[in-house]
Amino acid sequence: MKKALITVENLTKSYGQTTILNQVSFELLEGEILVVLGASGAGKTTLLNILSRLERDYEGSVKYAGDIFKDKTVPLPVVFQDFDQLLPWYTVKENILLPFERKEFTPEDKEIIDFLGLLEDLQKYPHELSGGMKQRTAIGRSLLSDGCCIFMDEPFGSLDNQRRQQLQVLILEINKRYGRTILFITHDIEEARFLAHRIGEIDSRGRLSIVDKAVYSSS
Amino acid sequence: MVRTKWHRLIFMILLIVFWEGAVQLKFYNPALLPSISLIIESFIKGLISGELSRAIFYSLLVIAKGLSISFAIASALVLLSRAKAWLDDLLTLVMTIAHPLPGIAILPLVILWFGIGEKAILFVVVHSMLWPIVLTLREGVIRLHQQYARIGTAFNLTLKKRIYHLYFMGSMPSLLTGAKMGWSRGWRAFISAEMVFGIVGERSGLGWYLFEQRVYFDAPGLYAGLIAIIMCGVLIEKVLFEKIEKGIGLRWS
Repeated sequence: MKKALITVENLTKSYGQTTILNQVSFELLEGEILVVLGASGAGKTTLLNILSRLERDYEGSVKYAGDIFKDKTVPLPVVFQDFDQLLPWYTVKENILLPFERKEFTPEDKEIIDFLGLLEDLQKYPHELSGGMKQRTAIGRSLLSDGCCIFMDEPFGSLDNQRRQQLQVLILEINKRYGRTILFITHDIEEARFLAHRIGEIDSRGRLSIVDKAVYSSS
Repeated sequence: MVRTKWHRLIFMILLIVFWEGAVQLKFYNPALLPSISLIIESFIKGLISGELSRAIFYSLLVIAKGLSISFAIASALVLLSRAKAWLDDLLTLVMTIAHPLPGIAILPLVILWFGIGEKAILFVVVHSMLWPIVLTLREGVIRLHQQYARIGTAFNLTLKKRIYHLYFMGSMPSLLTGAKMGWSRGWRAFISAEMVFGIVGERSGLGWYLFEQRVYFDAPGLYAGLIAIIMCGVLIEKVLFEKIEKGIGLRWS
């Protein structure tokens, strides 16, 4: 039985009269990749923002397993879809180290950077990178952060098919190699089938139903 | 690009030829339209004697002081305006009132407040520079906030880190645009204040230099002063600002 890192109970989020998330309850399990599907505006990003603590105004409860987050008030690392998550005036290295006090990589950091294939590009600026390398940089920054969860909000939405597939493989490797739990938002069913251990789908009423990948694939 | 430069060169040669032609043919009163050689001689003499070079140095010093003070005040105002909506509204109101007011228009009032001297000049220069800098900096910070604030939140950056890494570093293009607008407004205000109102402190700048040349009816000296003003403008706009712009252009795009 896998341990629940995040337990969500009766989560409801409304903007004015519109209910985006309606009585959502589920658990994010340690070491899994949970992919959440849904149409545009269905509430996928809202759910991610709430779980990563970027959004704190909601009804219901979101509980975090006590021993996994050093500081419960700190937001959890998010990889966003667009490339604005990198500061154009800083190099790849400076962008990755931005949240940290250290100015140089530790040996553990270097191992991750090497694994992501960024060693050669550390002194480059974001405008000198391809879309895929920009996303690798953002993933690197998240991997170096404390905590065992990474939240990804349609991170490959702006990439071509070839780069998208390369990065999907990378996500699976990150999950396997570093044991990171990943909440992945997408509207691409094929991407969900490829990445997920479990798939959640938000319907038009703001309800989330989670099924095993095998069940989802056969449905 | 090369063609444009040839046009410029030809234009300058033609200007000199027409000028000298008009002087040689005594087309106009030589006391008002001196020969180019006399102007150059006056310019060099002014530089060597220190009269003109000191005026240039002092003018640039006042502008540098004005820019530094304006940047400090603008940064504080913009930071404050981001803290509360009503402060931002207040800043918008003050900008609406103060921005269209030319520095030279408030000079009579400033003379009453500060007397005739460097304080009055600096006040007018800062007033001229401040509002365009505040305007561009505020717009830049709002854009940065919309674009990058979530990075600060997602990675829990401290306030110090957010201000420096996101807003200060990110504002470089806005600061440059503000500096360019502020510098040209401040420069005009400074020259006008010295020249029209004849206000100077212990030291004097190019506006006062022109004022003196006019009083002594020294036409070559007047033209030499104008050349110095043009040269300072070209040096700052075309050399300093363009170089900085090229340096940050790509990285901040």
